This record gives sequence, C-alpha cells and structure tokens, in this order.
Amino acid sequence: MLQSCASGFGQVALLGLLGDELLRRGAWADGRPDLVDPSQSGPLAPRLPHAPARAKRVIFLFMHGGPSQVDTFDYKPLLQRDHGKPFPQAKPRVQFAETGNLLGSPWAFRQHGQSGAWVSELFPNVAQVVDELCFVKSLHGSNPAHGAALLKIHTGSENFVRPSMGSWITYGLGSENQDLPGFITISPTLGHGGVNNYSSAFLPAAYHGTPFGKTGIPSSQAQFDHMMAGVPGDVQRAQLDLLQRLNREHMDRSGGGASLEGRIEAFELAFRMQAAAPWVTDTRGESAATLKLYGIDEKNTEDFGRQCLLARRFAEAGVRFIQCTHSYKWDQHGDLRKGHTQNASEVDLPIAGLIRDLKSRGMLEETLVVWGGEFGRTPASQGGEDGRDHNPHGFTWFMAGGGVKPGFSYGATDDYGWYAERDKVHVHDMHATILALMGMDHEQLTYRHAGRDYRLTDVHGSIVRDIMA
Amino acid sequence: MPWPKVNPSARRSLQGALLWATLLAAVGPASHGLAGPLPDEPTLPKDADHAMVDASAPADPDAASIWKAKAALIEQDHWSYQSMGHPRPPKPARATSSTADIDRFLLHAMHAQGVIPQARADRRTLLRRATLDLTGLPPTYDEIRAFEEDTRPDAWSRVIDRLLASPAYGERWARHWLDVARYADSNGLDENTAFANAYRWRDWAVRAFNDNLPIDRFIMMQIAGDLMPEARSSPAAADCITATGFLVLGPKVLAEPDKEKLVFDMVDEQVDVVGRAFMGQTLGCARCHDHKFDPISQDHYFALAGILYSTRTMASVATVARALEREAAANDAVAARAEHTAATERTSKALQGVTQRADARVQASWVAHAAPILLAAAELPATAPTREAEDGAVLQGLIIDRDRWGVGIGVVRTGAPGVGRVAWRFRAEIDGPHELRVRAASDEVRPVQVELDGMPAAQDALAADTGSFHPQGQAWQVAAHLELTAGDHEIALVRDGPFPHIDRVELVPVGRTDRRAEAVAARASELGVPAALLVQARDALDREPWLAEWRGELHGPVRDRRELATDLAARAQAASVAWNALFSDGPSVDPRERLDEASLEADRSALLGPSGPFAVAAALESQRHADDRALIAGLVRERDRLAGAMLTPPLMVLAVTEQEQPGDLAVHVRGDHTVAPGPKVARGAPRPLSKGTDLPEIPERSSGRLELAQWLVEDEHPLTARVFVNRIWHWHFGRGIVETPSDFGTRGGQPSHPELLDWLARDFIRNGWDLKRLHRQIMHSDAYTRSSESNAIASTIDPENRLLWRWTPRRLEAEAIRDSVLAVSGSLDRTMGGSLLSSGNFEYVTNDQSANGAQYGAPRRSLYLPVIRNALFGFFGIFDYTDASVTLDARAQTVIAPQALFMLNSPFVHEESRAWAKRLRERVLAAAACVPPQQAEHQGHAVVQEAYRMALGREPTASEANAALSFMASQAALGEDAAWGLYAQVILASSEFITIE
Repeated sequence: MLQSCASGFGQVALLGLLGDELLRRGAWADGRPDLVDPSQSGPLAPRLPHAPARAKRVIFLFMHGGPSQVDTFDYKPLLQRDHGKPFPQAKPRVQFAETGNLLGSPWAFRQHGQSGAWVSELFPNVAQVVDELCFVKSLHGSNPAHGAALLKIHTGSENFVRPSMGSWITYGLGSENQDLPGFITISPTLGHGGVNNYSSAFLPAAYHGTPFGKTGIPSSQAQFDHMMAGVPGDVQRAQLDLLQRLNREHMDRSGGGASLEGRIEAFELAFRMQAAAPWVTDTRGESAATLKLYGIDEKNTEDFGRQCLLARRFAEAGVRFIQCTHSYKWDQHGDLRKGHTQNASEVDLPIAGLIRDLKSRGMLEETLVVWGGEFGRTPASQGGEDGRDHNPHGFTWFMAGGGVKPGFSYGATDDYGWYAERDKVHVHDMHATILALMGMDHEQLTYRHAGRDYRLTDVHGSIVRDIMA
Repeated sequence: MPWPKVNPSARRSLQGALLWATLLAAVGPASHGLAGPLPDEPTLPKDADHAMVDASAPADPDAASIWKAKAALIEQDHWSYQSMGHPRPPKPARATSSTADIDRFLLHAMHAQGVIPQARADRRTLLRRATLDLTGLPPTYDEIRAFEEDTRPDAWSRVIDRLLASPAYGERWARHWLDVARYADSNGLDENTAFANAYRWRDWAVRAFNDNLPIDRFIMMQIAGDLMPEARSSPAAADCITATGFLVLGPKVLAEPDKEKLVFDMVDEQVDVVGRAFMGQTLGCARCHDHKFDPISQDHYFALAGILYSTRTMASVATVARALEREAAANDAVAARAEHTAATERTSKALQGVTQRADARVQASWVAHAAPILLAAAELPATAPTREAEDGAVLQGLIIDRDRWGVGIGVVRTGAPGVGRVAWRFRAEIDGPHELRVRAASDEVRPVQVELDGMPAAQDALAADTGSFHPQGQAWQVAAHLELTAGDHEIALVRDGPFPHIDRVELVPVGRTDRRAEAVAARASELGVPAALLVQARDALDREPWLAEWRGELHGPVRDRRELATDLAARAQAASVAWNALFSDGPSVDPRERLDEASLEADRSALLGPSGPFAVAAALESQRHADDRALIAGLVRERDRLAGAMLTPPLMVLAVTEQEQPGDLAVHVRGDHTVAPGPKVARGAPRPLSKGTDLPEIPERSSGRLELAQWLVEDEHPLTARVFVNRIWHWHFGRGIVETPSDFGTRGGQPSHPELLDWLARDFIRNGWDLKRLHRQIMHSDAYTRSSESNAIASTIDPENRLLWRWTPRRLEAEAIRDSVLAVSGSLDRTMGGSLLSSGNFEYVTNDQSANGAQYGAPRRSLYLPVIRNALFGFFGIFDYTDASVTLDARAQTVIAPQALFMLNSPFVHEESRAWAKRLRERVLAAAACVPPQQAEHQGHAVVQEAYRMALGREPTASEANAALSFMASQAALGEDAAWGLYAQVILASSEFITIE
C-alpha cells in the first residue's frame, strides 16, 4: 500500500497507517476502489462519496438544553386555546419530571416570507430568512435526560461510546484542507457526555473532533490546543530540521516502517497547521458590515455571532464538519419567559447573519446548516406557569442550504405539540438523511471494530427524501 | 494440529439452511458486518420508539431452528470453542541454537514457509527493550553498561529477574489490565461524577501483578472475591472485596429516568466486559437477538445476565444514581466495627441519661428555693453588657452584614465610600474609669476615631491588622479608656474610609469587679447555695428574653416582688417535678430531652435547660450526688476507652454484593425491558463456551457469581487461559497469537500459531497460572530477543511478521512516553499508589460549563493521573490512550499531527526539556570538575554525549554530534540555557526515544 502510493503528496505515510487501515477494515474495501482518490491520500484526503453529494460540509448550530418547539417554530393554536386545561392524551410512560396542565406560549406567532412559515416573536431575524429554511417538525428521540439525549443526537447511541456524526462524516469524505482538522467543534461542553459528543471513539484518531475553545470561556478567547509555538518560527524551523534529520537517520537505520515515515510527515503537517490555523481563526480582517451582520458589534450577540463567523471561515477553508454550541442555557424548567427571551436574543441575529452571509458568498447551496437542541419541551407546564419539562417525543429542527428544500416544512406534532405524529423523523432518520445529503449511504458507511461492522445509525435509520431539493 | 472437523454428513444435511455459514467461511472477516441484514434474516418493522436496541429478533420458528442449526455447526467447528489440545513442541528440523519450546513451535512454522529468522539483537537494544517492556521506563546508562559487561552465562536471566522484581513492573503491567477493565476515576456518559475510591482497585491490581498473584485467583477475585472463602477473614478480605470493583467500574446512564432500563443497561455492560475480558466473547450482541456470528443465543445471554442481575452494583438508582461501595474488610471485621459503633452509641446514651437524672436531682433541691434564689440573682449588679455590634447601632455609611462572613455572624462593615460612623447608647452603672472593648477583624490597618457623646475621645483605635476579615480574624481590642459618669452615653466609632468589621462591643468598668464578687458571695452564703449558681442565674436572667422581661417587671413601680417570684418559682417547680417524674418510671437511662407538654417543656428549657438559671454547668457539677458522680465517671471512662479503641476509618471501595432476592431473568424480545418478557432462563453460563466443563450448580440463594468464577478457571475451560496467555503475548510483542485479544469468536482473528497457543495455555495452567514464570518463558525465547532488522526475503514472504522472524518495533504508549520524559528530565516522582483526584466522591468532575476538577500537573507516573471519562487528559487522548469507557484489548498506534504539535508546543514538553537540559549541563560540569578545564566546544560535545546516554542509552554518532553542535552554534543568540533546552526537546521528540526496538 505504502509503496504503491508513495509519490507526491506529503500525507502518504499517514495513509500507510490509516488509509491502509481504512482499506482493511472499512467499507471502502468492498469493490469500491473508486472511492479513494489516489492523487491525494491520507486519513483526511478528500474522498468521493457513494453518490453525488448535495452538500459538501455541515455547520451544526447546537442549542444545548432543549429549546421549546411550541414557543419557537411549531405553532399550536389549540395549545393557546386550551391553556390551563389538562393534556387530553396520555403523557409518556417515562417522564423526566411531573408536569402540570397545558401552558400556552407566551409569545405571539406570525407567518413570514413567501413560504408563510410560522415563527414566534422570539426569532425576528430568523423570521426574515425562513424562505431559506427547511423545518422538520416531527423529530423525536429516545431519552428525556440531557446526557443521554446529547449522546444520542451526536453519536446515535445513548449508552455506548460511539463515534460522533462529525467523525463519521470526516471518515467518509475526508477533508478539503489538509492543514486543518476535518472536524472542528467550537466552544463544546464538557458536560452531558462531554468529549464523547465529538469523539471518534473507535474510528482512527484523525477523525476526532478538534475543540476550538470550550463552553465557559468567551469565543473571542478560544484557540486550538498546542498551536502557539512559543519560539520564533525560524528557531522552531531549525529545531524541526535537526529533528527530521535525526528521525530520517533513525528510520534508515531501523529499516524504515510506515509509522516512522508517518511521524516525519506529521511534524511537517503540524508546522503547516501552525501557519494555517491563526490565519483562519483571525477575524480582524472581516469588514464592519460583516461583523454587524453576525451581531459581533453588540455585546448580547457577540459570543454566538463570533462562533457563527468562525464556522463560516472554517467552512471556507474546507473543514468538513463544524459545530457551534450555544451553551447549556435552554433548559427552562422555570423562568421560561425570561430564559427563552434571553437565549433567543443571543442567537437569532447570528443565525440569520450566517445564513445571509453563506448565501451572499454562494456557499449556502453546498453547506448544510442544521439547527436544533437535544430535545424539545413539553406543552404542559412545570413548576407553576413559567416552565416546561424535557420532551424527546416531538421537537423541531431546521436545516438550510446543502440540498434541502428551501421554504419547506416537514412533519407535524399532535395538536398540542407533544408527540411527533405525522411523517415522524427519529434521530437515526435525521442522521441517515444528513449522510444522504452528503452523498453517503448510511448502511454502507461502516467500520469494523471488535468483531462487527458499526454504523452511525446502528441498525436503524430511514432517509427522509421528501425534504431533499 | 488440525482442529476437529464437523461430521461431513451432518454438514450435508444442513446445507440448505447454511448459506450464511458458508458465506462466512468463504468471504472471511473483511466482508459484510452486522450492518447489512443477511439474506436469511427476517427483517422486523423498525419501531424507533423502542430503538434502544437492535431490532431483528428471530420471530418465526423457522428462523429459530435455522439459527440453532447454524450455531451447532459453529460450535462444532470454530477453533476457540474446542477443548485445548495437548500439542508437543515440534522437533527441530535441524540443530539450532535454541531449545526453548516456544521457539520450536515458531521455527517449525518459519521453516515450513522458508523464512530464516534474524539473529539476536545487541545487548543495549535488548536491555532497552526489556526495560521499557517490563517497566515502562527507559534503562539508565549504567544499567546498560553493566549488562554489556556482564559475562556471566545467566546475565539475561538476571536482568529479567531484576525487572520483574521492580515495583515499576506492576505499575506497567497492571496498566495493561486497566485497559481491559475499562478503569476510570469517573462515570462518564451522561453525568460525570467521581469514583473517588476507584483508585483502591487500581492499587490492588498493581499489587497483584507485583506480588505475582496466581492469575486464576486474580480472575476469580474480580468476579466473586467477596464470596470466596478467603473473604471471611482479614486481611485477605480487603483485597477480595476491592477486586470486585471490576464489575462496578463501568459507565452508567446515571440520570436515566427509566430505572429498569438503567439496571438492564448496567447488567448488559457487565455481561459485555466479563465476556470480552475473560472469554474473548462478544456476548453483548445476544441481548437483543441470538448472536449473528457466534453460537450464543438470547437464552445464553439472559442466563449470564441473571447472575449479574442477582448481584447488587448500585447503592441507589434515584437520579443521580450512585454506585455501591462497601467496606473492604471481612464480615467479622465489619460486624466488629458495627458493634463498636453500637457500643459507643449505647454508652453515650447511658451517659446522657444518667447525667440528666443526676442533674434533675440537683436541680430539684435548688428549685425548692427558686423564689429567693431568683430574687437574689435579679438584684445582683449586672455584668458589663457585651453586645452584638449590630444591636442598637446607628449607622452612617456602614451596613450590617449578617451572613456573608458566616451564617448569623453579623458584622458592621463598610457600605459606601466616604465617612463611616456607628454609634451605640451605653448605660454606665457607676462613675469612674471604663474600658471600651471592641471585637473586630481587618486584614489591613484601618484605625478609627472614638467619640463620646459627640466629642472626640480617642484616636487610632482598633488599628491592628488581625490578619483576615473572616470570623477567625476577629480579636478583642481595647478601643478607648473613658472616664464616665453614671448614666446613658452615646459612644461612636468614626472613620473616613473603609471600616474594620465590628462584631461585638462592651463597656467595662475598671477596678470594680471585686466588690461585686464579694456581694455575690455574701448573698450565696445567706441562701446556702454556691456563688456560681447565683452568677449563672443572673446571667441567664439577662440573656433569656422572657426572664429578662420578668426581671424588668421586678424593678417596675407597682408589682409585688414576692408574688412575681412565687409565680416563677411555681413554674420552675412544676417543670422540675414533671421532669423528675420522667426518670422515676423504671431503670431506664434513656435521655429525655423533651417533656410531652409544650408549656412545661418551654419552662423547663428556659429555667432548667443548659442556658437557664438552674443549669448544672461545669462549675456546678460538684453539686451532684456522690453516687451519681461515680456512675458518670465510670461511663465517661468507658466512653473514652471506646474512643481510644476506635479502629481506623473504614476503607470504602467500589464493590458488589449479593442481591437479597437472587433470581432468574426472563428473555426480553429485542432486549427491551418494556416488552412483555418471555420464559425465564435458569442462571448459568453460555453452554457453547463450556466444552468439557460445567458450571457448578447455583444455590437458590446465591447469584451464581462464585460458580461463574470457579467455572472460568477450570483446567478444561476452553477460553480463559487461552485468552489470558494471548493477552500477555500481545503486550510483549505488540500483537497476539490471535490478533483480536478480546474476540475469539468467529469474527475475531485466527490464531497464527494455534498449537503454540494451546501449549502455552496448558503449560500456564499446569504451573499454577504463574504470570512471572510466563514472562520469563517468553522473554527467554529467541523470538523475544531477535534483532528488529528487516530482511528482504523474509519480508517478502511474511511482510507482517506474523511468523516473528524479527522483532517488530513499536511506538511507546502514551503513559510510557510521558513517564520516559519525566524519568530522563529528573522530574519523575516515584511515589506509588494513592489518589490524585481532587473531586469529592460522587461529585461532578466535569460539568456543562466545562469545569474540570482533574489536574494533571503532578510529576507522578501516568498510571496515577486521574482517568476522567468524557474529558481525558489531553495528552492521553492524543497518543491513543484507551477511552476508558469500554474494555480495550489493543491500543491504536496512530501517527497524527496533534502528537507533533504536542511535542513541539506543549508547556509540559517545554518545561521538561529545560529541566533536562539543566540537569545535563550540571552533570557534565560535575564530571568536568575532576579533569582539566575544557574548551567550550568540548563541553558542548560532552553535553550531547550525556544526552544520548541518558535518553537513548548509547553514544552519539559523529554525524549526530556534529548536527547537534551546529544547531547550538546557529542558536547561540538565544543564550546557552534556552538553546540547550531546545536541543533537549529535539531528542525527547525524536522517534528513537519513543520506539521499542
């Protein structure tokens, strides 16, 4: 393997370790040699998908805590009418906590755009771009606790450590920039599954999500680990020259070996990453108009706005999967009015800004933007009249760009917004659909580990073709 | 030796149904996985609401019988389900230098393929290999020289023995086992709470390896240590119970609202780890459906699951759930502790009861004269009233802060910038000099001015820096000496700027205390009571609000003093009589803390209680009856004796115990506990894995863990010894005889040398599962001591070196890299054992705001750093550490850029490089002190030489030395310290430093 590809590009030795591994273990081996582009090889080398891709990359805007569908995008007139009455159907067998009677949304809904999508007054800016959005209002998951639900939407498994969606996608497609990680997560949380939400688990480490900052520190202070050289570039270059010389001599002496050659390449790659990363993450060159578009000029929207802007910059640089996390704020068991108002005000403008910016740069059609939380909230109240409990049985995500129908809405919950009812979409189905939009067959994207082949969707998942453009 | 083949006629009769099995045989493990449903598998409709598990249970009887037929075939056919053979080492084809049994197997295979093995490696390489392999640390240069110069025939044996005897051996090899045991110091998954006592299991494992605990016992203890006979007595019991932590260490969904699911998932995790760790079987697959590739049915799964379901692993499943901990001690020791606790409680209860009864007697005699005593006390002059600064204070620019410095502490402190002022009204009882005393705290000098009735009276008062603003910083200071006339005065403290925190104030007349004491003594003697009683009564009358009110009425203009006193005396009498009555109803010494009647109780606690006028305070204890005093003294002695005999605090460990009601489990379709259960399955082991062995019968009242453990280590068990021996082989050579150490099923690897594996396993069992013997056996083989040099012919025939014709070089694991850096730099702290986790037990280690309670700065061996699931030490994650959530059989060996970035830019590598460079130069200078002064260049060369010796155990080549010196010359502008640091970093980052050759 190594010998046959040992030409040109610097990643070749990495392929010796990882590409070879992929070929031995993965689905790529089975009669699909066309999937590997021999001119560029290595774990992050771009690979052709199973089918033509509608999207090249994903930006996942994750709302940690569980935004309420019935207060944002899933308008329920009957919930308003029957405020204060008991929920007329059976409540779920397992609830996270006790809930009371129906709680009408405190926010007014209006229809927007050509598509006439219902949006509450919490999202005035997103309301202006609804004609770009594709709502999925019948999403449902399996677990009403934060940790299990986070793991489920990120990895497809709530009680095993499995590779994250971003890892699977990067494993499947590689990346378009060999000087940056293929999967970057901005300001991720260490709670509720923590690193397991972006880990590659048993996939090779190259597909592990690389954190840029973390929840709890402002995104303006975020950085990659170990990227700051500490000594001037020419000094480090001299160090590297000496090191590479010693390593090459050692490799020759000990009869070669892919890992030793890979190590030499890895140091060169690291050196290049040091040059690339600061440039990509430095937003000082952005115009005032762009900063304003994302709300970076306003204190309230600055943090998430910067995350969204960084996401666009990473996307431009060819990173395959980018996640932004609006930290664990959406969990309004109480103080719903105050909490959701504040949360929405922090993300509304940045999200609209990202969509507009991608659109104006011509990137939207090949970038799949996905917005959502780990679950929704109950239409019934909790702890008095100003709170809602977790609800994994029916909630709303929206998507944009990357091959989904714009100005479209799919599926529905019951009359009160508790259970997904029409055209139900399970988290596994969402995963299958995202992979399909990227041109990958979720049943073919497998990895051999501990005696069997694993998939993002385990043995589940149906592609929701109706939302595809 | 060929594996037993299935009977050909049986094969033919099954053929139609066996498409699947033949497919498997033909295509081999690299083809389809579980992902694609197989042609003859019925596909069930998917119901994502119940999507916790795989959905494809055999639904119709045809599928079930086809499965049975397939399983029977595999059971007969697959190598690992067959009894171990009794192979003999093949006779050497020609005389070779080696007679080691292992080599006879290996050479036989090489000979068959025409491969010629490499010669023995040189001694430096061998010592480095053995030392890194057995201890995870590089050898010192002296150790290498000693071995190179050791001409004795048993020099190699001596090296192996020395390394096996080193405590570092257990630290290294227990760490291997920790991967299998998915060891961690936190739960991970959804709620990442700390396992603060898990380290005791880890320390046990290190001891077990160092003490060469026989492996059959090592295995049994982890499954059923608490049930083994040794667990009945100390000190063996501690290890037996600690070892069962193996079953508890797994991650659990702690906030799972569905509690049944929580328990089922937990049992599933245990089945999975027991299956993979000890038997190399992926049993977890059979939770939901009969195993697709191995002959494990759902019945087999639930038989084993029943054993673990009958085992208690959790202390609580309420959100957030908590794992079980037990005292690591024999039952009799646990009982002894319980008895000691009970005795202590009994004694203190008795002491309390006897004391209350004795005091009731004393109080009854006082209460008989309550009226005159109270009247006399009320008339005594008041003590100087100490008061809380906040009481009656008139504030300006200051505030009263009640709780910030301790709940209810209450201080007066700065509230706004500018002038602060606090004033109180005091009554001076007599003319003359007084001291104004103030208790205050300040951690800087904040002098205040004292005003008396609006006029400055003292400067620079309270000027002391008491060290802290906290209550422990409060100190009494004399703020002013004031000459007062009897009557009311306003006294104020004033300061322009921040104020000290004022807690209490009092005004004390100077030089008048004696007169008061004389008056008290005289009144007491008239009444025939101790003077201390009068003083106490007076203080109580000042303190207790309603008594103070009574006292006020006493001094009022119209009230009849005698009537008032009689009334109060009557209340005291009634409370005392009722109180005494409580103690007169038998021999009970139970403490009676309350009377039943509320008003009597209120009077009792005000008058007779510990702060009342008739309390038997320490100064009045001598008034107790002599008999009572003797009784109390006896009980006090007993209490003190018990406290002295107090054992050390209990050693708590994660451990399991038997459920009170062990029972069999029913099969659940798709493994889903919410689906109506099928028939129950008797607890037991999967039958296909037990060829030639039987699980002993499980008593009704037992979980079956002990029987499971006994069965696993039976001589004829086809899997346990094979799996364990193969792991050891894997950890020595970087690859097992079976390449998948935790999967010996049909999807796992085939043994490269099946006879060798069986021979090793049989030999291991025959020799008492003696692990250190196995290490010696392996390390004495030619296979272990070969050079890593490649060979054109051999590498063409066997490029992967499955035949072991040479040593396969491999990169060190994360821990060994870090430990080697620390060892060379001189920073390594070799302290063994203990915990470096800063989180409290079951507290959150990480949370949604990314707080992380784990610290990794300690220069201890990596084994001892906290293993935090969901947030592993970054360095570990980069270098292919286990994710510590699931059992891991083989570390990955990736080469990725973040590893390079870490070596280039991490503070850890920078600091250790500088530390090492400093150490190198000091050593060279020390050596140079003995010889004539050297030229700078010679010194530079000496530093480079020392660096190579310490890090790599060899001399630098001329080219390496020249490269080093020209690097140093090019960086001369940085100064020698910095430049040598950069050079040291290059050596630590070099491939040779982190490769086992």
